[in-house]
Amino acid sequence: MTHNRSTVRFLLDGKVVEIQQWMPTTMLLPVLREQLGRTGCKEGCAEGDCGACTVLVGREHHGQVRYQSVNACIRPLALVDGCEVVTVESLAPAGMPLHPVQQALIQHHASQCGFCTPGIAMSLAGRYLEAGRPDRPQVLSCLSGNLCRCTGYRPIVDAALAMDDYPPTSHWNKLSGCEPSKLAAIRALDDGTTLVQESAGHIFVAPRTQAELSGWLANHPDATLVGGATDIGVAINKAFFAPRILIALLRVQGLGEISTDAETINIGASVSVADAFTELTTHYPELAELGDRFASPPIRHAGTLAGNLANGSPVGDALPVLLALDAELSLVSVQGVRRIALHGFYTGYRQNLLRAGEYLSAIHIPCPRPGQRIAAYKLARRYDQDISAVSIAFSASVQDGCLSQVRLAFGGMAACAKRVSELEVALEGASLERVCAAGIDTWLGQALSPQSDHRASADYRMAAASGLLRRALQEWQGNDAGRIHHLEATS
Amino acid sequence: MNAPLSRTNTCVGQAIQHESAHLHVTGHAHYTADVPLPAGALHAAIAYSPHAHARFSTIDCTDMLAAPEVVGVLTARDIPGQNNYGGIRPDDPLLAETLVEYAGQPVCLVVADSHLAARRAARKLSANWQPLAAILDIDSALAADSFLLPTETLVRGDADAALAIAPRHFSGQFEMGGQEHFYLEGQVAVAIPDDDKGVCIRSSTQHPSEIQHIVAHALCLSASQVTVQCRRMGGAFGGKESQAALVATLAALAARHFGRTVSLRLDRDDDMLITGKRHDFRVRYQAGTDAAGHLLALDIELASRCGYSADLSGPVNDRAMLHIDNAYWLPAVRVTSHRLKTHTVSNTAFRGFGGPQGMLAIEAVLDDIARQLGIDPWTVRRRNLYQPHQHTPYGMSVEGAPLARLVDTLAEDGRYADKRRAIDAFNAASPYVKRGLALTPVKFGISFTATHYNQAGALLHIYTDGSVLIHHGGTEMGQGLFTKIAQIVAEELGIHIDRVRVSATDTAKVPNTSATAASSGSDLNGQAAAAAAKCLRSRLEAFAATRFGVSTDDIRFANDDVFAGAHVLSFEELVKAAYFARIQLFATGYYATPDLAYEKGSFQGRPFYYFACGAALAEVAVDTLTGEMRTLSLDVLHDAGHSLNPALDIGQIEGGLMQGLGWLTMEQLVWKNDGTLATHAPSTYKIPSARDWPEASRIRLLQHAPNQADTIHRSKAIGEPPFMLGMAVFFAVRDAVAACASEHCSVSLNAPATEEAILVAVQKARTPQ
Repeated sequence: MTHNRSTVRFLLDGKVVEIQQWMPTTMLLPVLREQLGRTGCKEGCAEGDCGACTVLVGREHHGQVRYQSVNACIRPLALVDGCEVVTVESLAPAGMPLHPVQQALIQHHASQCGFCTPGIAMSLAGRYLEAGRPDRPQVLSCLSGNLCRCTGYRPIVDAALAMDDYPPTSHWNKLSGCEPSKLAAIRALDDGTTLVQESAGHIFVAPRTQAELSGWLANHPDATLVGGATDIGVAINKAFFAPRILIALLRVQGLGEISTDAETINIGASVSVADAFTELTTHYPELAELGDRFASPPIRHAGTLAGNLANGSPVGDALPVLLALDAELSLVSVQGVRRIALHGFYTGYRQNLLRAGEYLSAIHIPCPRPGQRIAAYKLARRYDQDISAVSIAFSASVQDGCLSQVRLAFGGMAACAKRVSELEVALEGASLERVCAAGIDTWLGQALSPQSDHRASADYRMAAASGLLRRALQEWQGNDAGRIHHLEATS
Repeated sequence: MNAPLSRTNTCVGQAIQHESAHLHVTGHAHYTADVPLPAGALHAAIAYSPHAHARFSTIDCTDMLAAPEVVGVLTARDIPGQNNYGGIRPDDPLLAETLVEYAGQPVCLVVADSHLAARRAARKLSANWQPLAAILDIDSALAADSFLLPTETLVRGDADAALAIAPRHFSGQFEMGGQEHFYLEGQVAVAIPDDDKGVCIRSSTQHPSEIQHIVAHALCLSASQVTVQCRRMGGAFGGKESQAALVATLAALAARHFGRTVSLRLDRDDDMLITGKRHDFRVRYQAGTDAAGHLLALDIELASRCGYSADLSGPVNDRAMLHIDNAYWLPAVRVTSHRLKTHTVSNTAFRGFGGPQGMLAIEAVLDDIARQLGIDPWTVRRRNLYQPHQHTPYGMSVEGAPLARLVDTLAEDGRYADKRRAIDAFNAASPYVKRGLALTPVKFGISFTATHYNQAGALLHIYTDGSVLIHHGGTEMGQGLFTKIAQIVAEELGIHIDRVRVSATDTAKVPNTSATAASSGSDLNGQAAAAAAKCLRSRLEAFAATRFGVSTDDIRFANDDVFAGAHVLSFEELVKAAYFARIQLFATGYYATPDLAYEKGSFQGRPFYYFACGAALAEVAVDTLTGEMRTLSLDVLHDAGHSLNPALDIGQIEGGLMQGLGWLTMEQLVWKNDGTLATHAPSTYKIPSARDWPEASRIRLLQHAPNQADTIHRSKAIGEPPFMLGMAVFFAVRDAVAACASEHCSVSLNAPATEEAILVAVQKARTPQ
């Protein structure tokens, strides 16, 4: 039996910050700005899209401290309990030289109005703390969650490419994560207690064990589960969503594991999208682009793959690809564990088979089989940090130009992400060349019923879905359809 | 005294860093919401209309008042004076009285102990709404004769007669969308009650003086009782020219009512729903050319959606008309401009101020002509480019605009012809991906068309330690105005720039200021600051001449030292000596732009002091399977005259271009059928991100190009003109789409060129007509 406490404790610049007065919906950003004077963290959108509030959160990872960027605006205060928080003010304490990231930004004229700059500095600082110097694609990926409206980003990218040329400072260098004192300080925050807060009829709890979690869920089957809060945080800020009981998975032992054996990749419920995709792309390199375009680094660091699935948005980026890969889910309750296929999990718009009192504990993805090919494309207004209008995942074994074990799934084309079984059957055994000539559009038209919204019309979604499938078929035939994102300018 | 055409400066013209760069990167730069509030400060939130058009007679405040932490709710009845924040026409109520005319229109102000509590309570607005029929778009407004302002025309020659005899005829329609400013810092103001009923407002605003007057009128105060201050904005782009007054005045109203400091900061969604945006336009035209594509006649109609109130729509549409020529000779032209009233948010100033819409219109016309004639669009553009002796349709000479030099240098350096050949070859061999190329010029008139705005003041203090404080009427929104002002002052006084501090803009220091807008910030305030510095330098020269017995001609200020004949002393020593000799060490400076001759609405004369010009060459790629596009390269040559600060000017060019690229490719405002805005946050309204800037970019300033007009150090304004460089990207997309066509025909692609619009255009291009 663990003991409870209600004080949130985190490290800030080497000192323990204790927050006693807080609500389950209190976000980190207003605490930093209004209680701790860290006004360098800006609110630009309060939904994790602009990055002006970016801070680093340090947590223990493989015996070191790993610092990752997150959006403070949608980070519930309670989710930094037991962590270290690094703000832009931390980078160069009074009397210390400017951090290389800061020097590079100044030298490259990378700020104009300056409002986005602290967030950009923190995204870059997160990258700077990692080993090695980033190349241009890595810099672009790193900055994909930061909007700037004044510059054309060119000087910011130049600064990022040059930041490793500046002399490192004693504060926040590439060895910071290895400093034993930092790890010790973070470990010292954890007295093994469970964080529980009750405020005006609302409860927050961060269970430490799966038994504890199941117990809470059994007593409160209507509870809202939260992973990284990248979706719930938006609902809290924008719609004043106030769940009666909010249960955080982040600190539950055993849910943060990734284990892979010969057949299966197993991803625990609190594994971040970033870590999940790192593992997935080890086995399926074709998923690298999708992983890079999945929201932004701060969102990927906070959000979980399980959250993306359980949330079940019809445009969730992981859904089509995990459907096409025949992923399975472990669902746990006090009654025990059941393992079900993701295909069939969704029963309607944001509806699924999870029962009251049950939680998704792990995702199981088969390892690739010989001859298997996959294509996963996302179509959105903007390449980076945008919600898909349409996405497709296509998996099949290709032998002698013929398809077998076909899986074809779409997002954004129906009330939930779904496989197009009719077309899968039609494609089974077909030759790639013959498929190209076949009436793809007719099959898709029969199976899919997209809606029109502010992102795209139904007509466009149908046309684009067809285009994406044809792109995959072209590429599998070895005819590089020519991706615009791989093109060089005419010299 | 005319500034020299050759450069001899030491501080001006240097690529000096933004004066606040070190504060930006450390998080220590204070924006309006960052200054700690005094104890007992209150927070306000706007409760707004859910209806596009509705009447109401009573507001039920019960639920709002019952919400936690709420201390009060203010309605129109609580405004002691004028219920208006319209700067030109008094048709913008601060709080609606009985009628709402857009979804998002402020109805009451909820005041609470915290920001969150005020926002939460504001959602509980209840009123006896009687919804009315709403006019939401340009077509329905035209059909209903819903004109907000009288239709205007600009005429040169006889367009009808010229059309009748032109060998080739063209006609078409073109639409362009609006644009959200998306300044990263939302609208915000903090109002602090002063004694004797006065109020001091810290506002994120481009136009402190206008706020001062609106607050005074709303609260029945004199202007002298209202102080408005702004140290810096987190971006503005025109969106804080008139719109900031709403937020500042409501904060002041609450501060007055409750006698406490009140902060009003708009959440992003509220900001996007409540405040105005760029005007969307519909263009219809008839054009006549010869066989080579020379324009002989143009009859063009512009129709813009102004929203529910006048705001700045009159001058915005005037500027669209005055820029219908962009860089081209239009021998016979008639421009008709409809300013339409709709039940949508009142559209407002946005970088370019109507100029981009006018310029995009003529570029679309030329693109259509070129495509139908089967001539490369760049050839047609070049053939129609102004020659130096020609005049604009409103009769102003274009002599000082180095257009031919700019475009020919860019075409040469950017290797337009080589790229054209390579791209044609690529497209012929590529079934799915098509490349496109376009080169477009920019000519933009510099000055407020409201001539009286073309004035500025400054107040310069030299303290006895030799430090210098400059106050001026301009505001800092990231464009680097304060840096340029500091450079100008340092240059005049021969001192290091570190000695010069630029004060927050403050209506108590420099009165009757113009908006920092129309790209005029450094032109106007730079001259005023220079005048103040010259005045003080003269005084110090006279004093030194007497003290050291030399002629004033023998006195030189340089490198923080003063050379008086054989005597050398530090600037600080001279200043201290002057103080003890009782020499006045502060002075004002004033500037009014000369040579303007323009009456509003006449569309004839010299509305502009000069033209700022540029040209961009863009290459894009389009995926014809999906309609996705990507910018592959950008080559720019831009005319900043003798740049005051090349680093800042390059920053303006890149940022402006990127914003123009966003307007024309990805930024799409979508309204639902009930008139509510569907895209009111960055999750749904996408502005460009880092990857949208191509690695292959070459952005250069035109060298050895002093402004022919006698501007501050012969520089040229840089704020708005680069925005229109983004047009090259749009027409490069059209070029790529045209590569799908098998015959010579126009590309049916409106702006923004979203992936959906592009795919539809590709499908049309592939369908024989």
